[in-house]
Amino acid sequence: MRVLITGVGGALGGRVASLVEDLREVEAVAGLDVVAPSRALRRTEVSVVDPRERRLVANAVKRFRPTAVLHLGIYEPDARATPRVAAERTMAGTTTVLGVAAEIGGLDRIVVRSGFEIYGRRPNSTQVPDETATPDPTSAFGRTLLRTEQLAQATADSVGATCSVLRFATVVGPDVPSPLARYLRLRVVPVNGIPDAPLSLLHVDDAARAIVASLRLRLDGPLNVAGEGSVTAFQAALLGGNIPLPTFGPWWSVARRISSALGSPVPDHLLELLQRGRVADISRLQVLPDLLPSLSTMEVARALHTWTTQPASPQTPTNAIDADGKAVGASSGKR
Amino acid sequence: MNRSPITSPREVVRAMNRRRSGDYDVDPWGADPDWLDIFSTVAPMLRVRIEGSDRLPASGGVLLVTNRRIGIGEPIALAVGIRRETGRLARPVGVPDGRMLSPLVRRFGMIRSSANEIRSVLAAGNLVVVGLTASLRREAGTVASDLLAPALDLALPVFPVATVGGELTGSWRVHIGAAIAAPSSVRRTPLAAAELADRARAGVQMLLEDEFPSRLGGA
Repeated sequence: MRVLITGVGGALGGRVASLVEDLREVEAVAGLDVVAPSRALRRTEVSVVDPRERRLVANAVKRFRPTAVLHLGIYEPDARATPRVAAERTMAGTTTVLGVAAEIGGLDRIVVRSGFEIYGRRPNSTQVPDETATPDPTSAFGRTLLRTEQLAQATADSVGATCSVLRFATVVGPDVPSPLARYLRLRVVPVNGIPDAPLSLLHVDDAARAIVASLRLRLDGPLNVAGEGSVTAFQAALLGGNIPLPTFGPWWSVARRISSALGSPVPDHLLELLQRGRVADISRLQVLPDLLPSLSTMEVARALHTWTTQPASPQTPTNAIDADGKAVGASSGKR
Repeated sequence: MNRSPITSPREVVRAMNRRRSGDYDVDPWGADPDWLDIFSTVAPMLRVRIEGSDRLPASGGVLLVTNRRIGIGEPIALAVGIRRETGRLARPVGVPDGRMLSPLVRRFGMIRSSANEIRSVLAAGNLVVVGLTASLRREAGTVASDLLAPALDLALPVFPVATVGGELTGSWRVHIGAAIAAPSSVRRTPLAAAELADRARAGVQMLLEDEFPSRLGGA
């Protein structure tokens, strides 16, 4: 199996690459991202390229000839890029990588990182949607995820490959640039004034294990993945000794501006989560023990207050090459 | 969600202290069992006498169908009684639409009147309380069969319940009847769900007549 990992420079992609390298059935591993991974990888051939550079991306995919694609190049708004750039990178990367991988032949499985944002939070929508719920996103990020899922499924159908779609709760970790984690670590945390709705979290290590298990088991179709249980933003703030500030109506726009000024921007999908919560049914995981997260949502919420504010600057590994096949030095990683 | 119910003022104080550090449970449907316990412990005016709770299984999903007059007093009294008696959290169906009220009433365990939501709550091993349509007379109301269909799909027991009492007096009596036999049809069709709804309604009516003959209509 020749595995191509998009988004390999992120905290999740780096972990996944590290785990995939250890799989005996994997003949070769390659990674694409706008930055190089911060962790040293033994046998992953990394191409540092912006997904919007279609020609360079296509060259890298053609050269590698993947039989499996782990599409983790899903850029959350205000995590590593502004909302506009994040959406552009996600869509360009999805179209090019999956399109070229399908054209050159041999592709037999795709794993896509998606999220609970895809279900949307309309006033009368299901509180705890399962995988059969019709996606109805109500945020820009949710719509990007839906389009990504549709493209991935269409690509898989066109070549007879399987398409495993892992819909994650908000992924956080010590080196994950998560807007939610940054927000909950503010000294004063604006939360919904009426009792706030529950949300689920997923530790980045559990997310990485789920992706690799999904690759190995060659799963097909959507699957919700989250740490067991739920917390509210109010609780999560208290768990870190921070002060939850009940916020109503128009005060939310003031809270967003102050939060942004303090280095914690609040994109629309985060505002939606804070105001309406975000959980999903994870009962299908019970029959897939390899994908079952080891940490509950409450444990992740406690842990996130013990992490330092990160991420550290990515280090370019010695085996990195650029999209044209040339070696990339530690100081030349494209940001 | 694994903590035992709060039953004494001392435990209320302990629970209040836990809340200051965020160490409490809120489940995916928004229920906060501590909140319900604190409410029912510090509300001595709410007296619920419950019979037949030993019929309920100690774990797993269960659907209860109860009569109702106006409002949701009966389902809430039933939920409080079951919590006190068995330690299990029962979830009345009937969260109103709207962003303001919905999260608040969800804290007490209430869920939306939606088949999807009932299915997910039952599948997670919870008790769900469905109220019949309101009736001021001694007749049990009706129930939309699609609200009972999830129990049929998941092959879970359905119990009829008669609840009488009054919001003004705060005194309620609850009688849980024997589980309703599932319709003979092995196919989970809308017709089977409608048949189950009819049996549930008849079961509640029978309990009202047998267990509370003197209180009917006036309670």
